[in-house]
Amino acid sequence: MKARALFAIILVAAIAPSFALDGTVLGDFMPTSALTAVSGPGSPQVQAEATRTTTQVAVSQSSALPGGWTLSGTTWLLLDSLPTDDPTQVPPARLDLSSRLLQLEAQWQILPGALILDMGKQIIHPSSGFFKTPLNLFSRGAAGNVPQQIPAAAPQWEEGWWGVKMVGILGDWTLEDFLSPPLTWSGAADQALQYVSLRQDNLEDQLRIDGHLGTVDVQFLGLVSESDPGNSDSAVHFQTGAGVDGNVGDYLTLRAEATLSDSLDRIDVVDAASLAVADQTVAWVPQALAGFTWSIDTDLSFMAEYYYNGLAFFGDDYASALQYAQNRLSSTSAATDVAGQFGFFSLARNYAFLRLADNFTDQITAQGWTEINLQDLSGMFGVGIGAKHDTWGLSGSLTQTWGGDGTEAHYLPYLWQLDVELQFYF
Amino acid sequence: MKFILACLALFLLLDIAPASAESPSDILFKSDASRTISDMSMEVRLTSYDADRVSDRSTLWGVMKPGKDHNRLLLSFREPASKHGQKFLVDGDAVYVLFERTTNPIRVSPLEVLTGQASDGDVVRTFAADYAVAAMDETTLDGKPALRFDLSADEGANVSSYAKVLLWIDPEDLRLLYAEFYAASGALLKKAYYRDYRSVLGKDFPCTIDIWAGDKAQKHTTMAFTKIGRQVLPDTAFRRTSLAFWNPEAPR
Repeated sequence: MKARALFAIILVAAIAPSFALDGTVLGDFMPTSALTAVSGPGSPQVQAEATRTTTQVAVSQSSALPGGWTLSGTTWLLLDSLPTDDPTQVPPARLDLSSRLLQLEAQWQILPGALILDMGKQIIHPSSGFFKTPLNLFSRGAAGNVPQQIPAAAPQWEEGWWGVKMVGILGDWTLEDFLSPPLTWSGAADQALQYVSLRQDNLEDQLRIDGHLGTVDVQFLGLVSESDPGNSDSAVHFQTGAGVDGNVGDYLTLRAEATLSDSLDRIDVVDAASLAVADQTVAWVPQALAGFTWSIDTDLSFMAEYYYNGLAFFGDDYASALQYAQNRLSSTSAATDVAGQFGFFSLARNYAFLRLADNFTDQITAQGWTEINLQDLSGMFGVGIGAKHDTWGLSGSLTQTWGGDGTEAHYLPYLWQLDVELQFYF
Repeated sequence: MKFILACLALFLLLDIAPASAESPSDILFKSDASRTISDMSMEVRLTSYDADRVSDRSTLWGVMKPGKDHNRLLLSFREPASKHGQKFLVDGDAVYVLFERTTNPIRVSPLEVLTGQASDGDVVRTFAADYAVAAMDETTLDGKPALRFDLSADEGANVSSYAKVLLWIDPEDLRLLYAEFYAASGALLKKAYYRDYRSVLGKDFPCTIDIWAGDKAQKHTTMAFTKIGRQVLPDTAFRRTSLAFWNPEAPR
């Protein structure tokens, strides 16, 4: 199976240019150090190192047809040595294979530049945020849950949603509506479909108004879901949001966005000592992001973003969740991972992200970044350097956590992670 | 005889010194207009040099639409493979980039570079609508007569990537020959030579622009227009949301 998959990757890369296909092959080697119980739950923790190896291939094609039609598609394949993302849980089949049709669209310019019909599987990503993306009211995140060198919310590859979008553009304003029906199937009976698409459990209808006002861009969104991704009930849920971005002079780019959801689910800590939890529904949840990018010169830039997640924990609830994380880690229990329910390092309500990036040459770039939990002032930091040429690129990064006792970073099982990435473009 | 000579002198004055009868702003406007091709589609090859070594090469397709206030420009990387499909929209002060396999254009600084010393706005740049003429004087460039324009960013304009620009224009045919671009601090950011003028679609167009870094004397980027055509796109195609629906085409 492994040999066949590798052969398929090499074959696709070799013949794709002949069919005017665009593609990327990306290999990642990620040595990771983590605290873990090597002999099962309850055993003493030791520092363990393991290397996760992934190979991703994405192939795209876009063709303009007569009558204002455009067909485009992207397919993606992943070979993953550690799909569980845990260095100690090496699966029996070390190279796990997954694939997806990320995007497959037929666009028709009914009135060129004014009225557009877009049908098929589409990536829906209205947020301008780098670190977090609150305006992505429904999102699937990175395809394959493959870690990235920098904790950017915009993943390298993202899976779209099946649906129909109608877009109307008048002057400086755009009105679009995307309707995505529920598409479910039996995971047992239709196993082959897992290599094509994720299921769509809910009906989603998103209305978006986008406009250019003077020197700023604004957008307003409303999403009606039969049941939002965090809820298991069948009630109708509503989310709304707004975003703005603009330039101040030539050097500063500003962005801000905020959303409000009528209800979202989370896992609350009932008793930290006994590791007891309960599902709760939180009404009227706000989330927001504000940030800027400062182009210090044409090569050097500084980015700062602040993220507020009203669904996450604060005050006594945060202290209780931290205590739970500490108890769970020290007991090496298989209890529910409360700290990871909103993603990696996202237990608190308030975070900041800072990044300094520099283009040393046309090909070589370097960056340093830090993500800070503003409630306990712990965090992660990373440095990376990359070289990109016409058909290949090579980059490396180191990520490490920092923070004392009683902080979120202190209770993360991860100590450090290296990532060496090799890319080929065709 | 005196009358004929007087008429001849008057004719010569009118003919050989048309600039003197017009304001500096009018001359600048005419210079812009003489090389601006309406609804121009283009293939541009960018080659960056570090001293004599080629450090980067790119090929882009683009479409430019003149507007009342500023030009709007769509650009898409064809080469190299590592950037293929990346698109840009330059709409006045706003510059958006749509990375390959994404759907949401990201707003970036107007100083964002395409490659080497060339930024998006350098591909098709005009000056009259965006800058005020602070001074114009007669000078020379490489030993030939030239009009030197001292421009400052126009506060009322939507586009002014540079605080100050100096232009050298040929007084005979109003060809833009050379430009220097300065930051608000007074630092020289870049300088550009406009060369290889050819008659293209009824305009006198500089088919090669050589852009040098202001502070790195050994680095420069050559922008060569290898194909030029016309493609009329609706105004709404030059919107942020339209970038995802734009299908770049080779110039025809």
